Amino acid sequence: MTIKRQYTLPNCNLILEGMSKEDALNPLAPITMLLNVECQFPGITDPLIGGKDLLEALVQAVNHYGQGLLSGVPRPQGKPGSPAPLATLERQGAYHHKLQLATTDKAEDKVDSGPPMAVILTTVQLFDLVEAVDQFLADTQTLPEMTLALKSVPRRQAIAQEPLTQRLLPAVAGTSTLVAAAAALFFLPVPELEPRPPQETPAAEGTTDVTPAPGTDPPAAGSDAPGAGNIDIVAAVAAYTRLSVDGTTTDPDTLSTLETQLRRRLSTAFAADQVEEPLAYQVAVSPEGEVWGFRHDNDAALLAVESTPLLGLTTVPSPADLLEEEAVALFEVTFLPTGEVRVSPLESPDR
Amino acid sequence: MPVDSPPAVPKPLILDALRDPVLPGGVCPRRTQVDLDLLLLAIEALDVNSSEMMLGAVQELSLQTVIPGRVQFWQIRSTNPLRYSSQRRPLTLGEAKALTVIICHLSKRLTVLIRQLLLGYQQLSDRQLALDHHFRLGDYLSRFRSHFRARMNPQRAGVLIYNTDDKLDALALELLQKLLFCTGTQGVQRLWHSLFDGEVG
Repeated sequence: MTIKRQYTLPNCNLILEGMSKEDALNPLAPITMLLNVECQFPGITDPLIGGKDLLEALVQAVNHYGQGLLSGVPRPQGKPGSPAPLATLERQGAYHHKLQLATTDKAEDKVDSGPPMAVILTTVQLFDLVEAVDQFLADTQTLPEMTLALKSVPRRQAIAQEPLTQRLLPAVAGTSTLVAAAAALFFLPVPELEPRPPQETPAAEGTTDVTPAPGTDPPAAGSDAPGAGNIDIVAAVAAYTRLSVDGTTTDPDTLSTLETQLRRRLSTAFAADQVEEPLAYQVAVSPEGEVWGFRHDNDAALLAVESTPLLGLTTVPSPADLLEEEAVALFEVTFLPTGEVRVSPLESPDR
Repeated sequence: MPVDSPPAVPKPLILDALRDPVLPGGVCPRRTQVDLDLLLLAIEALDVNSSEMMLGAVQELSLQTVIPGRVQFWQIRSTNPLRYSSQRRPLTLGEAKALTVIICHLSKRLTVLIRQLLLGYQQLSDRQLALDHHFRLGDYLSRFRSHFRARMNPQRAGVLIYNTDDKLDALALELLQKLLFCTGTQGVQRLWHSLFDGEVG
């Protein structure tokens, strides 16, 4: 004989009809074989009718959707490749939920084998369905093998609620800003290092400034002297080369005056104690008698330049001076170990 | 006979029915703290006496070992990181279970009111009327809004998204629907498992 169990809620009626395999005559025996399931919603005309598969599908759909509603975390429908579930629930706005039933193939089944059935439920109706299912699962007298089996969604299976584009947006924005900043800064010119202006102080300070400055780019004026990294001599040589190219005076009166003046100045300032061999220089002198530049003629002259007073007496002319003056006088100066200074006008200046 | 210490309060068996989830760190994730506090906030908005009801529920369900008193109850609720006075300590699984059980216990008491409000909401939205037309519903929504704004820190990103009345109303109605599900026979199990969706390893 068939046993009927009914779970009645204000908005849902779940009716199960079945039999007990073990004790077929006892109406109080537990239902172990299900014959018919009917799910009615008062207010909705067509009840859902089916067998155990409908019941299982309803339980599955209710668990899946109900948990998603409670947590707000969407969960994947099922393993890819598994058949589509018979019953599915979907949200339809803030307050409505669509219960969709797929068609069944069995001809003898009482379900309408026409188009799939869809029922729109309100939240309260949905809750009553959930409650009816929960009461059935809790009932040990009806299909005791079916119980409530809930599982939380593992982190990996939870569908991200923000779309991928929105999640990637901050990373993309940051990277593109970095690229744009790098491109903009690429065009910024590297600041050039200006050479330090030459020292105009006496020789004593000049000698303390011997440390070579690898960063300075000495003006290319034939000054590839090994080891003698003195900026002053470099500047002096450069100035001399520049001046010897510009006009030089050949006026004999001027030349002799300047020659005498130069010899006197160099002799008084020259101390021969460190000089071992003659040191020859070509010196450029301004019309006022200022030593504006010089160049060494032999290697010894370069190496021993600090023994001579030339560095101390040389004043590299400023561009303003050069503009005013037109001609310099060139002399050949030789410092001898004996202490004598020989000065003679230079006939043909050579670079 | 002389007794040196008060009789031990039995450990609440009601919490053993809830299975411990596998969580990294063994403590509740942030989302759980927020969800539980917001559900309690919704209950407070439903009934003015609910704070006393909550403490009464602790006594009825014998949860004193987990929640000894009013201050500890407030401290546990304040683990919600969205609050102004957020306690910087994690929520233990035992405390979360206790809160879950209390929420379901109280929402069962408020079943009639919850269903009434949801039916009212359904009717108003079908006729496209403003939610103030239903007196109790308007009352619930305005109380929820004022409680939320008084307690939640607006500088938190999770609170900034609810910066208008409409958004807070939508949140209040979502929580009301969740409370409806908590009133069911298996409400405690359903709520407990939903707290860790997307968080278990």
